[in-house]
Amino acid sequence: MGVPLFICRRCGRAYPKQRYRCRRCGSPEFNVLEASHGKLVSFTEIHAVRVGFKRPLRLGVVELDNGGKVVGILDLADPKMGDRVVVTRNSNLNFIKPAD
Amino acid sequence: MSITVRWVAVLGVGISRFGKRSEGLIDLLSESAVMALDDAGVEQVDELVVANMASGEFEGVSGVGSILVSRLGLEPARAYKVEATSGSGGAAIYVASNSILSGMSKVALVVGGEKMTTKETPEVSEVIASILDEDDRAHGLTLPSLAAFSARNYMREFGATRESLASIAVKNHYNGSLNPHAHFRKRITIEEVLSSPIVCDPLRIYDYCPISDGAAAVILADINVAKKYRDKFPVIRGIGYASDTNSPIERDFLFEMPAVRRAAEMAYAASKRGPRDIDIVELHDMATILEVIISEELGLFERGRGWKAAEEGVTSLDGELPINTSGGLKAKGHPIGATGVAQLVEVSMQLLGECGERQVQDAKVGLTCNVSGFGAGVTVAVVEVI
Ligand SMILES: [Zn+2]
Repeated sequence: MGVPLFICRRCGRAYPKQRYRCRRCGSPEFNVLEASHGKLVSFTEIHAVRVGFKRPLRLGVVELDNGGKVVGILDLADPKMGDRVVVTRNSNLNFIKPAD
Repeated sequence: MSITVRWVAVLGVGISRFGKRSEGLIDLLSESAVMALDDAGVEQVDELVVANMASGEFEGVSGVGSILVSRLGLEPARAYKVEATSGSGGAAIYVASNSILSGMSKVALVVGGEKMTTKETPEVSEVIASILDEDDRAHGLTLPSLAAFSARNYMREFGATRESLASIAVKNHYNGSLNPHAHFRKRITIEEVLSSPIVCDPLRIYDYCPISDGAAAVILADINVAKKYRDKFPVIRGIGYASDTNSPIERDFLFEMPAVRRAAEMAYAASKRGPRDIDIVELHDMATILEVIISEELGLFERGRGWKAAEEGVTSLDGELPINTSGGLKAKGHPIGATGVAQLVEVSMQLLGECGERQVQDAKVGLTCNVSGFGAGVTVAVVEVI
């Protein structure tokens, strides 16, 4: 399963997070679209992890082809900026894997 | 003669040492508040605005405004807390300024503080992470990791080096070494920054501000009232406040902070001053990269040029545009609710020539920039002595 994107029905702006109103046009109505492909636009390896997370925690930011950016857990051996990736959602978490 | 400009006087300031303190929040707030009241020479205020993020989480205390108004003997002044995470101080100043400009208050006490060292670092991180978007947080995201995303992209886009970011930490520690209120008084070297433990790659421990206790206070007043107390005092000539998404990864660029830009435009327009007029700056360097990004968003440097400033000495105490003369969040410390207020205290003291060893010569116009979260809310103020 991919990640949900909330697309404003009136103006088409894509949001990775659910909102009650569109920031651009104020519309309260959104279509939900499932997105999965995109490119890696940043990443980090967290050593000072929060309670309950395994150290080090590798997170990335993906710019989805359908618009919007999401954070996800990196499942890539050697991440590079601009890598083509696929984001899958499992138990409410996003995982970033290489696009084949 | 009565002045009709929309300026707010800074009639008094108070600040005590940031760091690990034995006192609780109420005593820290009271200490700075009494100093500010004494400094201003006022006995009563119309309004008490407390800036604080997490008194409940850190100490199990709520209703800080009510507690403090009694403790300080300021009843029946209107008293409440303003909370905007790490931007609480700026937000409180914004609220109190508007009270004064509207005429509802003639004199207001703004006091900001946080007591953080009651908890161990992992618990503090949890409290701070609670301000993030729920879904981002579920992934283990932290404020420091947002700075890391930002740093990686900025360095790649503009060719900034690790050394250039480290030089910001070195500068701010040097300034902190000259500030008796700073948490860190120790000078550091670029090598020490670059060999310190990694927090979030590519940023290291010395790239980030510490966990501190502390408080700071200012007395704000109607200009015509202030003139009865003093001939010369700083004024907030213009103030701006703007918000932006609380999920910063949504932004077009991970190294931008649109709310800083917006708040600065408002403050520049209101003050009839521009970035070229600014002589000294206190800004929100939660991480070294933020000093760069914020200084660019404020229009002090062109986009992609700010990273060279510390390395070339432009932003050091004796440079053309000293930034974070107090040591900034980096070395002075960042007791969350105190920060925005402490920035106004530092700029006011600099403009009045009261900064001792870290005094900047001939500073006429100061600017403060306090940020909530990672750019979710921003206050910018332009300050000048009249
Ligand atoms: Zn819309």
